[in-house]
Amino acid sequence: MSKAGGNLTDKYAQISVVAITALIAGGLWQLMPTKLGVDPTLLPPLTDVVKTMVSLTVERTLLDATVATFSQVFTAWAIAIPVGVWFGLLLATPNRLSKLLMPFFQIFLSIPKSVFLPFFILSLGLGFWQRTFFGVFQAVFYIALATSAARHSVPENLQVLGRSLGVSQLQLYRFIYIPAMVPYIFGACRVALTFIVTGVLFSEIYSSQRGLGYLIGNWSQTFELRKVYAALLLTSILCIAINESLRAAERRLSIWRAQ
Amino acid sequence: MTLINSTATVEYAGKRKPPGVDGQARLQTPLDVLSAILFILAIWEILPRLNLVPRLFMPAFTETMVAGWKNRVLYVEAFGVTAAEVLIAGVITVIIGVSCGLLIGSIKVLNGFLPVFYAVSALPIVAIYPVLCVWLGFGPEPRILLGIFFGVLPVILIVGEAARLVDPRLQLLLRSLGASRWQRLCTLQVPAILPALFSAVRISAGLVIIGVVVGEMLLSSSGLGYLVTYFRTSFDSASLYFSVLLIVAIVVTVDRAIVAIISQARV
Repeated sequence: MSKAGGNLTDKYAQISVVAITALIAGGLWQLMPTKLGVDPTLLPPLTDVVKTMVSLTVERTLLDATVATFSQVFTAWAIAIPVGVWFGLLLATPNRLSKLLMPFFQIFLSIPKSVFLPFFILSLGLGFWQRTFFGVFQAVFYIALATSAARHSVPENLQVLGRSLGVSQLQLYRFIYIPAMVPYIFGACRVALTFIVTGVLFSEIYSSQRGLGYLIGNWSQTFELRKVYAALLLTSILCIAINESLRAAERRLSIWRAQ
Repeated sequence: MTLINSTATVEYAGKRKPPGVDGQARLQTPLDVLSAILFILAIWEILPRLNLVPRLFMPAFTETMVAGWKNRVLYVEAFGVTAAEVLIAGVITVIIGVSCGLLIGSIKVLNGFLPVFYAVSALPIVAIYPVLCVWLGFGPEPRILLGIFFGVLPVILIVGEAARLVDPRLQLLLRSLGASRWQRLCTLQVPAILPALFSAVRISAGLVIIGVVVGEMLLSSSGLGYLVTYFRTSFDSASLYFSVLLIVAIVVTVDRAIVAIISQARV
């Protein structure tokens, strides 16, 4: 945590911290309904929830819902990243168009975007693309402004050096701009993914017929809490796994930056 | 550390423009933002009037304002409900966030738990709202709790990092002067984290409001989020637009107010 490279003891310390936290949380979850007197209808024990999760996945209810939800999430991510990066590069070049567009992006970044869900429902209906474009809407402004900031953060003397060596515009991008910007943009995309997941799940709980959010909302209303917790556990495991693997990839990509 | 004094001359060789921040022509002035807003309002008014957009999807701006005035009693009542929930959630968020952050940041052994919070920040917290409603019923408690969950994580992370990075030499100095833990807290750690705390409060204020409103949109019988759902399902687009506009205006106002208060406190 304190060293950039991270020696062996740091890594083992980090893993053991995570393991301890998981053990404590899991242990509490198991003990509270069974031994500590919490109502098991409100908080089913961890073993029951895991069993339900496995059986629901095997019988495909949870599996289909996960596929539905995450296909929306990753489609939205695949749309938001190129659009966001393109607008970000556009905003970074100091011309009249970027000066015109920048206030819109800053306005939309600073306002709460979840309240605009009814607009998406009014215009795009209740289907796959409504939730996907809502996810895109959540992420694209953040990615654009992060890309613009990344472009501005390229050290000035490297650009001057490149020009003085007579490199072409393409070479400038390939050797100077893109390597400097990629770690920054990668981190922004990772954060944007969490925005997209929240947005898609929110719109599924709000108005949907399929997907993890719909299942969670539906099962809560029928008080089948064991299944709700199973869905929540699966969602949490997937989200944390995706986020941590992206962070690991980010660390690998940033090794050359000796900061 | 640049080879050239002015950052702008690389981009603007030959053109005489005032150098600005980071190579951009000018800073974003409030005039730019204002003109952008006026442009949006103009589109909002003209497009529906010319029947280029269906009235159901986008009512004209003046229609929206009229609908807002017509339902003003509803809005005032809803605003009161939401404001109370946000206030309670906000106060609890700051208290819990600051104490957890200080605890985790200043106690060396607990520093290792910060990565756990970073991992938890990837979770979609909105998914837990139906469970909160089952536990806590239909009153304001689930929404307050959701607002707290939305807002507390950034505070813990920012305050925790700031507490972790307090100059250890100052801590050593105070310990060698015989200061108790409480004295060290009040004299060194709390003032040291204040800048981070201000920025954390600013971030989490918006998140708490949006958490409460999202909860109201999903399952509630009162509040501004409930009005959004109510007007959507009754296809009253003008009132729907006004509700959304009101929520956005509230978030922006609260943000500006906090920035103003912080700058006053700094001065």
